Amino acid sequence: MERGALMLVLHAHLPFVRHPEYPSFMEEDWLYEAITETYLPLLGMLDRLEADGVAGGFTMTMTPPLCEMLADDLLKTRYAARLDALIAVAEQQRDEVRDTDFDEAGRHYVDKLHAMRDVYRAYSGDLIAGFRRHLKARRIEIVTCTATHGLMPLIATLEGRRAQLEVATASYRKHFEESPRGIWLAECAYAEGVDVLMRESGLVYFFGETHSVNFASPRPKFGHYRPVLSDAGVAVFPRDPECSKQVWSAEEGYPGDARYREFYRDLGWEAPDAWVEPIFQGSPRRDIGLKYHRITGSVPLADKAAYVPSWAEECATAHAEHFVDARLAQLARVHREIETAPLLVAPYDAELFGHWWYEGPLFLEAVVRRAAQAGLVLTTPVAWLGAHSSCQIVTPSPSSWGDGGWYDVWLNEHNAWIYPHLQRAEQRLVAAVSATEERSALAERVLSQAARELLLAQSSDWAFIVTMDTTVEYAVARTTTHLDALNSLLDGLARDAVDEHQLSVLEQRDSLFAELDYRVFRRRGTSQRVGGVSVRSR
Amino acid sequence: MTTTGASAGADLPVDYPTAEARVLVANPTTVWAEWGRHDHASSFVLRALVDGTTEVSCVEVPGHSRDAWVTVWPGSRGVLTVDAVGPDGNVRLAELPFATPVDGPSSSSATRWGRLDAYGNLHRDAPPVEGKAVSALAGQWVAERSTYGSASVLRREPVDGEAR
Repeated sequence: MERGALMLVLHAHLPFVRHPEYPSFMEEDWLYEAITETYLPLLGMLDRLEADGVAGGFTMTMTPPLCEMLADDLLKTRYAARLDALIAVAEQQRDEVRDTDFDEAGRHYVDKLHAMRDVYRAYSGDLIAGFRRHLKARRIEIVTCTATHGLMPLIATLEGRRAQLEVATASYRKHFEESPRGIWLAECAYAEGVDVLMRESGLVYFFGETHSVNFASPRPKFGHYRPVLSDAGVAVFPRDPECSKQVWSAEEGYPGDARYREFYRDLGWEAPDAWVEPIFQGSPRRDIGLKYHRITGSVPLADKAAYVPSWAEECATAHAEHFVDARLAQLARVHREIETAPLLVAPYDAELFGHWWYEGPLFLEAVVRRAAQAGLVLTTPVAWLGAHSSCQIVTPSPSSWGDGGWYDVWLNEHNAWIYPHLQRAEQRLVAAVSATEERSALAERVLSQAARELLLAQSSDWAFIVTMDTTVEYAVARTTTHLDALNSLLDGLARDAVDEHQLSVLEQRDSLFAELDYRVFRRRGTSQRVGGVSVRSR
Repeated sequence: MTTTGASAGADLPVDYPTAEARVLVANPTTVWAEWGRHDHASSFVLRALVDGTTEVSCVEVPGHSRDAWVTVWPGSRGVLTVDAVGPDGNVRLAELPFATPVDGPSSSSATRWGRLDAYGNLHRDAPPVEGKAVSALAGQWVAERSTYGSASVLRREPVDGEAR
């Protein structure tokens, strides 16, 4: 790594959305689309790289809520049915557009979806087992994330922050059969003291925004081109702006190329009712992920031209070559300046690749293959720390990767109303679990479920959705529903009048972290221990 | 300014019957405080004090308010006081410590080096990494929300003497 290296990081996350109380639920589509468009293509890519003897060399976050959903039998059953229904629609559309400009796209979707179903079936629907296999073979590194994507700087208590970390590490051990070394702090949001809690949970690195390091004190000698260590002994890997912009920007980045697939024109709005009814089951029309037009240029949606997958594939390969060449040039330039090996950290939302940017997985695979040929070293945090013994010790700067670089996206005049309720719920739960008393098995169930409800309410996704003004009604409902549930559970416990039926319903609905022990929220002195275990083994 | 956005869910309290107060940091120059109900308050006054006594901000909001945004300096460490103003004068509800992030590079260039061993333990005896200090630190950018997700696209504004 003398010339430096590139660290690709894919953050795979979705909030926990699971509604057994409905036969079909619109927001569950988020998971189904991401499986088809991102997670299965990534898994297929790793399998192909393995077969060809090419190292993966990148890092992934698989957040605890995502893992819980991928492992959930109900959601797996619903997904398998969705994929079958989608294939049926794609086959009808293929026949409909035969010998037209859309012919290639029509055939492409049928082939692609069948291939995805083959991957899904090859792993018996257990995607985590697939990623775990590549982790064990060290083709990729997988890190955890705060338990429910809670934004650490906005969590009020030490106990609440600690719980987000300890539940996360326990969930990781359950799914990946080893302890995580690193974490993706939700939204790369760091606050003073989080590093100390990370050490308590056995976590030794995280990914930071550029200025988490560049605004650190003292100033970092090599800027964001080398990771640093905090005084607590946690390594920070800061985002490189150049790498990010080339991929993230819709205007200047690769995904905006006219040959790529147009995201906003979807067959879900145009197909005959009979085709899509098995998907919608009476619910409103919406996107289904089958899109037959290319970006074309700055023209109205109605004027978009036919999508030609082979052109898009060529384009993705060319962009991958450009990206690798640009990184090699950047590394050489920075190396000349700092006279030591630079590291370029390039983190992206995993769902950018495939869901938003349909050709993203093709691009990624081409980047990995091209890097191996061109001598661009792809590294992971553990590999980098193992190969480079010294890091500068600094105090990292609070920061996030959100708009503006701080926490305004999750705390502004539109969503601030959430926090008085969250903070009081958090304090109420901490007080309840910290009381020293003998508890019945029922009381323990109540407290553990209350803990799940708080964790779910703390998902940063809800405040984000409110800010973005997208599915606001759902985000508000999720926040308030979980807080209501917590209050109701603790009220019942306080009155010695637990509603067992309600408890069972909540346990079945908000079923993540089945192994969670409420004691994770207990008040404690600041511990110096490393690798805290706070979830009971079943 | 007080919060004017979406309201809480139907089953959550409109406010809380205590004078407890809390503060959260939104960015280097903005902190947000919220407090419980305080009967008979005609208004609330929030003051940000740094270095013990220097008042850098003072905000007064109506008695029905339960939160407020207060402007401070980047890199401030201080106390936010919340007073209820009533017929009998001011009642101090809370003194809330806060610390906001800096918004630029540190002026200190002292260096210390450490290493993590295979078990993740920090050793402070690591040799320095040879090389030249980077000539400029990238940092601030014009806010540009990404089309695709929560991450901002870094339209970078040069800092620290960097050429535009």
